Amino acid sequence: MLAEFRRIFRRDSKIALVLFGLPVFYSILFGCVYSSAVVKAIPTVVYDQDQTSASRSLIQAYADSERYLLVAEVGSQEEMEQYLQANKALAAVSIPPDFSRKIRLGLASEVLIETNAANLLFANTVITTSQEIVQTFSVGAGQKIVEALNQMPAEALRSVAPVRIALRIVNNPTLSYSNFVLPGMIANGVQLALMMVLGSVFIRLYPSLASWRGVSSARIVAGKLLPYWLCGLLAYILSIAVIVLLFHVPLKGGIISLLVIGAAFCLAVVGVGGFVSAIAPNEIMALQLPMLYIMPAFLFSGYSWPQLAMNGFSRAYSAILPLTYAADTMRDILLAGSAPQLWRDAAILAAFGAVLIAGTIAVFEWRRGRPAGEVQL
Amino acid sequence: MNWWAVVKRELRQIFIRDPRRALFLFGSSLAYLVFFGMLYGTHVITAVPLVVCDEDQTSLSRGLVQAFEDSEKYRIVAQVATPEEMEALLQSKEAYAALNIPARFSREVKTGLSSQVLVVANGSNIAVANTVVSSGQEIVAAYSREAAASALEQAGQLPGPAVRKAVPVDLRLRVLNNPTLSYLNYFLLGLAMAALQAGILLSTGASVLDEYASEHPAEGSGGYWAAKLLPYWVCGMIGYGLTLTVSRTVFAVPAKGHPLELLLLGAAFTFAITAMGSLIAAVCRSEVGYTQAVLSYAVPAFVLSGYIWPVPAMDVFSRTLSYAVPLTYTADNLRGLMVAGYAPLLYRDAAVLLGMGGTCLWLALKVYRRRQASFQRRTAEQDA
Repeated sequence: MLAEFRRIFRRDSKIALVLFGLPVFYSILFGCVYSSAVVKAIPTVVYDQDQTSASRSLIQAYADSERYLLVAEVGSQEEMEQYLQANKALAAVSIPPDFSRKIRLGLASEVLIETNAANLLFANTVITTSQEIVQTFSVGAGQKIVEALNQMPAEALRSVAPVRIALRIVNNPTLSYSNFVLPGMIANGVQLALMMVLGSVFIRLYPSLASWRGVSSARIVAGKLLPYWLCGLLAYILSIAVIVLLFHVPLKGGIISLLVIGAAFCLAVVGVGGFVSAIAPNEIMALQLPMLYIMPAFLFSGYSWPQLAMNGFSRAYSAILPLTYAADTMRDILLAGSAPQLWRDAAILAAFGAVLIAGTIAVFEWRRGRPAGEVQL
Repeated sequence: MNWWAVVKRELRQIFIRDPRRALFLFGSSLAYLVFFGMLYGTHVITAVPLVVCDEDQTSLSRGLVQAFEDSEKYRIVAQVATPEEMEALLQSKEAYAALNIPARFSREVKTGLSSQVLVVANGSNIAVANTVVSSGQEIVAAYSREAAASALEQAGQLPGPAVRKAVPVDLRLRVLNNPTLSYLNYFLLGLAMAALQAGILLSTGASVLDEYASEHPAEGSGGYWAAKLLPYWVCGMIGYGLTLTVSRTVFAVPAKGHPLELLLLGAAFTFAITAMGSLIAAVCRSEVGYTQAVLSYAVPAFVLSGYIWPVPAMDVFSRTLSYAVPLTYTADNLRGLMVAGYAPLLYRDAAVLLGMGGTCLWLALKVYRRRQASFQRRTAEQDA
C-alpha cells in the first residue's frame, strides 16, 4: 500500500496530476463558465406598431427586466423576422397598431412574443418572464378600466385578478444554473479521473507477479485500491471547496453527510475501476472500455433529466450507475440542506463497491494462478 | 509508396487489422444517438408529482385542483390536510411541486377580495422547476381569468365584454423552431457530435501513434500524411451522414436545412477533428496518455461549445477558451440547420474550422518530423 502511495506521488507523478488536477480543474473551469448563474440580457427586437404611451410602457417593462436587452426597434414585420433569422435577436415583442385604443375601449388586445427555441435555455426564460411581465401589465390595465366603471382602485384590482399566484421556488430560488449543474459536474470529474488512473492498476501488475509471491490476493487488491480511494475522496473534498468558496454554491447541509455520500461514491467508482482493470486484456482497453459506461453517466443519472421522465430502458441503465445515487443526493445536501435518501443511497453505493471489489479479488486470484502467456491472451 | 497504397493500407487497418477503429468512427456517434434518443424519448417532462393541500374544499377550489389534474404536466400524488404534511412530502421528494389553496379561497373570490394560491416548486432540478413555473402560471392565470369574467358578469356585464375587460392584454406566445420545447431536438445532435468527435480522435490518434511504434517510420512528407489521414476524414464524414440520417428517420429530429450546407459543415468539422487528433497524437507518443487526454477533453469541449450554456453568457476566461474548441463552430450551427433550417454564421464558422484544421495539420507535421529526427539520432548513437 505504501508502495502504491509512492507510485502515485513520486514515481509516476502524472497519476497525482490526473487524480487531483482533473476534478479541481473541471470545477474551476465549469464554475467560470456558469458564473453568471442565469441567462441575462437576451437580445430582443421590438416591433411597436402602436407607438402610444401604453405600448411604450409595456416595452419599458421589458427594458427594465435584466433578462432582456433591447437590440433594436424595427418598423416592419419583415425586419423583425430578419433579426430572428440572423440570430441577432432571440426574442421579439410585437405590439399591434390598435393596442392602446382597444384597451381603452374595453376590447381585449394582444401582444405577440416570439422566441427562438432552438436553445431551450432561452425559450424557457422568455416564456416564464413574459408571462410574468404581460400579466402584471394586463392586471394594471384592467384595473384602470374597471376603475372607470366606478369601482374603487383596490376593489378594481381585486375584481380583475381574483386569483393570484404566489410562486415559491425552494432550494434554488433564482433557478441558478451554476447551483444546478456544478455539484454533478464535480462528481463526474472525480469519477472520470479515478477511472482513468485505475485502468493501469492491475494490468501493470500481472507481468511482475513474482515479487508478490506469498501475499494474499485480497491484501494486494486492498492495498492497491485503498490509496486511490483516499485520493479520490480528497479530490472530491477539494472540488467541493472550490465550488462552495469560489463560486458560491450554497452549502446548507452537514459536511458529515457530504463526506458519507462522497466516501460511498468513491468506493463504488474505485470498485468499478479496479474490476475493469482486473479483467481487461490490456491497458488501453482498460481505459477505453469504461468509456461507454461512464461517459453517458452524467446525463443518464437523473441529474439533469429527471428519472420521472425516463422510459424503462433508461431507468434500468441509470439504476446501475454510481452517479445516479451520488449526484442528486449531493446536490440536495448542498442546496436543500438534507437529502431524504442519503443513507439508502450511501448503502447502495457501498454495497456496490464492496461487491465489485470482491469480484476484483476473485478475478485477480484467478488470473494470478495462470501462467503469464495465457493471461495475456 | 504512392498515395493509393497508403490509403489502402489505412483502410485495411481500420476495417480488418484493428476493427476497433471502425467501431469508433461509425459506432460511437450512433451508440450515443440511440442511447440518448431513448433517454429523451419523452421529449418533455410530464407528470411532475404534485401534492395538493386544499384547505378550502369548496367547488371553486376543487375546480382549480381539477385544472392541475387535467394538465398532463402534473400527476397528483397526494392530497393532504395541512401545510406541514405538504412540506414533508416536498422534503422527502415524493413530490416535486405543491399547490396550496388557502381556507378562505372561495369566499374571498366570491366577495371580490383577491385570493392567493401558493405554488411551490423544488428548484434544485431546473428542468422540473421550469415546467412547474410556466405551466403553473398558465393554469392559475386561465383560472383567474374565468373567475374574473364571471364576477364581472354577475356585476351586470355581458359575458363577452366581461372577459375582455378582465383581461385587457392577452399574451400570444409563438415559439419558433422547437415549438413543443422538445428536449430531444434540443440535445441529441450536439451529443452525437461530441461522440463523433471522440470517435474520430481515438481512431486517428491510433493511426498516428502506429508510426511512432513501427520499425521503419515513414519520413514525414506532406503527401504521405494527407493520404494517411484521408480515409479517417472520409469515414468520419460517413459517420456524420449516418448520424444525421438515423436521427432523422428513427428519432424524427427535423432536418430542415439544405443538404449541401449540412455536408459543408460536416466536412469542415470532421477535417478539423482529424487534424486535431493527429496533432495531439503527435505530441503524446503513447496511446495511454493520448486516450487520457482525449477523455479529459470531451466533457469540457461539450460544455464550452455553447451548445447548452450560450457563449455570450460565459465569463471572459471561458469564452476565450471556447473559441479554441471546434465544437463551438459546429454544434450550434448543426442544430440551427436541422431544427430551424438556417445558420447565419455557417460560412464563417466552416472557414474557421478549415483554418483550424490546416493549422493543426501543419503543426502535427512539424512535431512529428522533429520527434522522428531526434529518435533516429538516438538510435544512431546507440548503434555506434
